[in-house]
Amino acid sequence: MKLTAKLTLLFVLLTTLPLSLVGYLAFTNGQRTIHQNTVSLLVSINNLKKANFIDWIENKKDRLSLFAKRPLIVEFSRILVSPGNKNTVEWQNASRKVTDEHFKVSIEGGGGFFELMILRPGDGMIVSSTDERNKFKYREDQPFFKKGREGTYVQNAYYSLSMGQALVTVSTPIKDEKGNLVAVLAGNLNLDEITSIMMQGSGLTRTKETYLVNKFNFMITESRLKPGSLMRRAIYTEGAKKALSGKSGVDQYTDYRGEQVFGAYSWLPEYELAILTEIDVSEAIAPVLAFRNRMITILILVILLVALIGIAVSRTITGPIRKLMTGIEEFGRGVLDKRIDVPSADEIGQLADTFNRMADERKRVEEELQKINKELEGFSYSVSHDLRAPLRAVSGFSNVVLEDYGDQLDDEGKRYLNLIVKNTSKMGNLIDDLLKFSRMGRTDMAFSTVDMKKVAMSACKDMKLVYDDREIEMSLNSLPSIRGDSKLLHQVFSNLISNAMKYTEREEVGKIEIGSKILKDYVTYFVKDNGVGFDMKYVHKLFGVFQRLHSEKDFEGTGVGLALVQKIIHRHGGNVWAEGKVNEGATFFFSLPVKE
Amino acid sequence: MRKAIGFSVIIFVLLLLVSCSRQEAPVPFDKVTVQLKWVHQAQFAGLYVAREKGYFAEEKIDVEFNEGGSNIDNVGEVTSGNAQFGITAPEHIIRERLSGIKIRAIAVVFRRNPLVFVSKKGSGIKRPADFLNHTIATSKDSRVQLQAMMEKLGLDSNQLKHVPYDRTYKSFLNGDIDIQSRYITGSVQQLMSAGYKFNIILPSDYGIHLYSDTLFTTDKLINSDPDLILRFLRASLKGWRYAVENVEEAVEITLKFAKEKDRELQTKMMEAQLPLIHTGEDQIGWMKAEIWEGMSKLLLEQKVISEPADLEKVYTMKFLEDIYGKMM
Repeated sequence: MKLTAKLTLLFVLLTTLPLSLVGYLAFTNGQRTIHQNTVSLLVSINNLKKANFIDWIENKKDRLSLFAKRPLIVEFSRILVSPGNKNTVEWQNASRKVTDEHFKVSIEGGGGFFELMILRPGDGMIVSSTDERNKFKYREDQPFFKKGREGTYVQNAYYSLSMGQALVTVSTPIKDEKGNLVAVLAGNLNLDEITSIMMQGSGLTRTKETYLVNKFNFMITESRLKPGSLMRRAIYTEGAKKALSGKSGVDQYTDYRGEQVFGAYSWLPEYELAILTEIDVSEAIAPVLAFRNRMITILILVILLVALIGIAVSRTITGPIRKLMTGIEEFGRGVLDKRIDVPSADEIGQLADTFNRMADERKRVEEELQKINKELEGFSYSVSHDLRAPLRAVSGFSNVVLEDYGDQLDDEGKRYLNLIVKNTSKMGNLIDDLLKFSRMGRTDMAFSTVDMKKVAMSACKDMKLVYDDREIEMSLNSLPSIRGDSKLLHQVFSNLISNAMKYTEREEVGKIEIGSKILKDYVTYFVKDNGVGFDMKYVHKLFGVFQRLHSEKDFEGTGVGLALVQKIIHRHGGNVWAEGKVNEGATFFFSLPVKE
Repeated sequence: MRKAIGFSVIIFVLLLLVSCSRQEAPVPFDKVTVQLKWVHQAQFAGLYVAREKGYFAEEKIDVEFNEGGSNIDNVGEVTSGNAQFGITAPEHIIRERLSGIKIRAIAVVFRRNPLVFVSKKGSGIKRPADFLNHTIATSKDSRVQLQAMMEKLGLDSNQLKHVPYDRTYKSFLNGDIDIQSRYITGSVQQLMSAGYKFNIILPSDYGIHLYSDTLFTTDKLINSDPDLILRFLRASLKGWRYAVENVEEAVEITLKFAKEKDRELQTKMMEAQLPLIHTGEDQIGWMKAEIWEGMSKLLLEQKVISEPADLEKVYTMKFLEDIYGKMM
């Protein structure tokens, strides 16, 4: 991994880990708090509504029983329930006065009952009612009538076919001063009123609602969330079941809509009603989710910020390093004037300074070496050049002596003179090669794209002419083209092939293989033979000037060929090396850089 | 971790169940036919819902409904085995039982009787006492209730002027008939929504409490396959519960069965029958001894039957109690 990435990751980890931990703790803590709050809120709302409902209904009961105790009501009731003609003035009077002067006044005064009536205790006939239509109907089968004879009773939520609506009826006995039952007083209450008690204040939330369920599982108040539930929807939820079995509590369960809710439930034994307050889990935990989302957003922002900071900070470290790296690379490629500018005073700045100093030194040494080298080359050139003239004189005059004074010399003398001539000619060859070699260091090179195969083939052809008496098996593989000086590269192949031919002299069939191998930045060419080979011990001597591994008697030559090859390849920026084994052939490699 | 274990256990069990159920042959469905009281209409919505919602299928029951009609003997269809369950009036069941036919009620769908008497608004006929000296047209099945009601109120039914019943409203609307017996679930609703105003006199306001649509089956089936009855009833009641809670959808489902595709009519019927099915007291289908006793007494008083019925044999609470648990 790159240093920038490493540093950035480290930064991010160091900041996000503690942040996530704190966030997680805050989240779970918040969740717990909200859950507790929700639960206690639901329970207190449920209790409040319960209290409101009980207040409301008890108030109605009180009103009704106070009503039943009014002496005039008792008196009128006695008349109304008495058997006999209902058309008497007394009866009509009582009926009118009860409804007009008492009942209607109470209803209009906002007593909460929408209908008040008096029932005959024997058969449940309505003898008087504020609703004229209900007069003389019978309610003998209704619980409010049966139980209302004994005490104040609430018949909760039933559907009256006769009234065409759902209602609650409160009833109470009307008794005379001796405590004898005279009649039953009953009042009808609208279920809407209970619904409005349950709905009060629910509007602040989206899903919170309180409702009542009777013992037959029917919802007796309207649902906020599913209108049309009043007296229609049967509730068999976990909460309702528990409440109906007399328990109170709070739970999470699936409600009648199939939604997950938190619900507080309670049983009202006196009225045989269950009261439930529920809120959707999704709404209850919405603040927690919002908090979580906020945390995640913050975390992402922090990560981004830290990553940016991390990248910026690591850039200040890696930037100079990279500069240093490219500088060194460039310097390595031979740009000796390359210096690295890192102004900081830290370790990297010091490193750059050190490098710069080293580069200065290196450049100085290199230039000095070049100078010395040039001087040396010039020297060897002039030496070899100047050597030729005296040598020619020695050779020339030796020949003159042989020709003009040969008869005055004995055989021994002639032989010596011949030796002198031969050795001067050999020395001449040596000087020629030396000249060639030193010239090589000075001539300019003409770079072009060289078709190496063509070059190698032409070199082969030349060499075959030289060694026309030999039987050679040549195999020439594909050779990629490369940039270089074609004349010099021709020289390289000529030398290597000539070498190979020379050292395979003793083989019946000389085998020479020329090939190549493409590496990333270099192409390596090789010339392989099956000749005498060499001992790897002396491999370092192969490319030295006048260095020879074999005696001149065995193989002729001056020992400049391979040195020349090395010089040419080095001037191309390449490299030469060789592999071999005694009597098992040798392979000479040279690699050249691939340049655009 | 514990969760993960629990989860994998559940998965494992589920896989086991799946693989087991694959190996086993599918449980065969019981084929059941219900003889309806009348033609397909919202009156039987709960049953249609139970079928379309798959409640019968859940109970491994393949159900079919046979329409009723004026010339179809509901009880006969069930006793002959053409149907396993039937819907009919409770007085019918009492009468048949007394005549030795071994059928029994298992639940009451309409726990209030839809029969009413209607008079025109403004006619001054508001209660049974006002019926005297007016023309009244009653259907056959309403006569007993009328008679019983008059007697209960101590009114002389000889002072009623009976005229032939007219299914259409023509004679009623043109004034030839003052009072007519009708079903509150039927055309009364239509006419009311058309703007006509009526006085509606409910027998139940005057001490006449009769059940109406009642589910029954044979003693034979009760003894041989009580489990089938339990399953059938459970699915039916579930269907009725759903229909009560979801009127619109129940009507939609009814329209798939009914020949009368009038959505408004079926909706009106559905809404009108809601308080009959679900009264706010007791669960859907529930039956009370006092009502059965009252009906028997009424029939005896009206001489529809000549001896008191043995109510133990007329209805059974066994299945309702199994479904809802015992009530006080």
